[in-house]
Amino acid sequence: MSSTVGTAPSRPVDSLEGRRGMRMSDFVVREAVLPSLRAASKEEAIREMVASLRASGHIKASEEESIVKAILKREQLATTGIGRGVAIPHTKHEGVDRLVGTIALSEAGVPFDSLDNQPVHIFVLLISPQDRPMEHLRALDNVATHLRDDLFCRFLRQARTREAIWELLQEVDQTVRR
Amino acid sequence: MNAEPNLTVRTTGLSQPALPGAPGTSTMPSDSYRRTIVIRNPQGFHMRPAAALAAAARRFQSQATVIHGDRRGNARDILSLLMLLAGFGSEVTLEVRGPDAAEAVEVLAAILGAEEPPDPVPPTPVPKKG
Repeated sequence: MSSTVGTAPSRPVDSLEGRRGMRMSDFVVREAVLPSLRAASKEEAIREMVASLRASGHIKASEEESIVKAILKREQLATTGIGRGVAIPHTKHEGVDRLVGTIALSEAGVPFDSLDNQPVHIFVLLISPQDRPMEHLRALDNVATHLRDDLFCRFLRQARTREAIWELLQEVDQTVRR
Repeated sequence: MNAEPNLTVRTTGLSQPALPGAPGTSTMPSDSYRRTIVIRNPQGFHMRPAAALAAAARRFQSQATVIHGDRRGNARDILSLLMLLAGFGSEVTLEVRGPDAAEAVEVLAAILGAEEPPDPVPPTPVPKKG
């Protein structure tokens, strides 16, 4: 016998049925990919990545500072430097009407208050609309799937150009079921 | 149809006590507990609750697994938790096995069922002036 205690959620349940795999190329902006960050601090890294998205035309210049501050505020709640040289800084922001993101690499590594106290070499920055939490979760699912792959991380860190990074993303995108 | 013993009694959040044998928690042999929890965070089980759960899970000797549909996540591993894709209202199953499983299932279920995650890292204190 099985019983359910408590009241049902007032909003529709996010069902596993009908979900689809999201690809890196669905949200990573090719023109905003940074193969070599100049940043030496958490704030500089976030500013550099957001500026790259603004320069690519995917966020408005008028929203840039607000988005940077929102990401920094999120970092104050808990670091997104999850260890193994990886960080996923992100925010939900009204300044975007679709999920956008970028990937940035730092050969020297950036201090990021990571859980393992190690510098970050791989950044995946995400900016999501405020009203689409499942889209945000799908992007995190995609990013987590690839960042758990040591070989992917190794090849990513070896990439020296935007084109080389994009080719690698396209390669892993082919493994996503749609 | 197989007549397997029912191991799961559904609960939501911490609405049921979790002592071994108490309503709301199924007890399996060797200090094992299994609980079904509804995700009540409006943003779903995203990165901050995942980080809070992983930090809490690492404090216990027991092994904890979170299951959503056909996906299983090691509760100590943030990335594997992010792959659960558990949105608001989703039901997830928490399995905890080990010597301190009774306490662990309480703590981890509370984080999974919370509307807002606890901060895994205390906020940076503001320096005093003067």
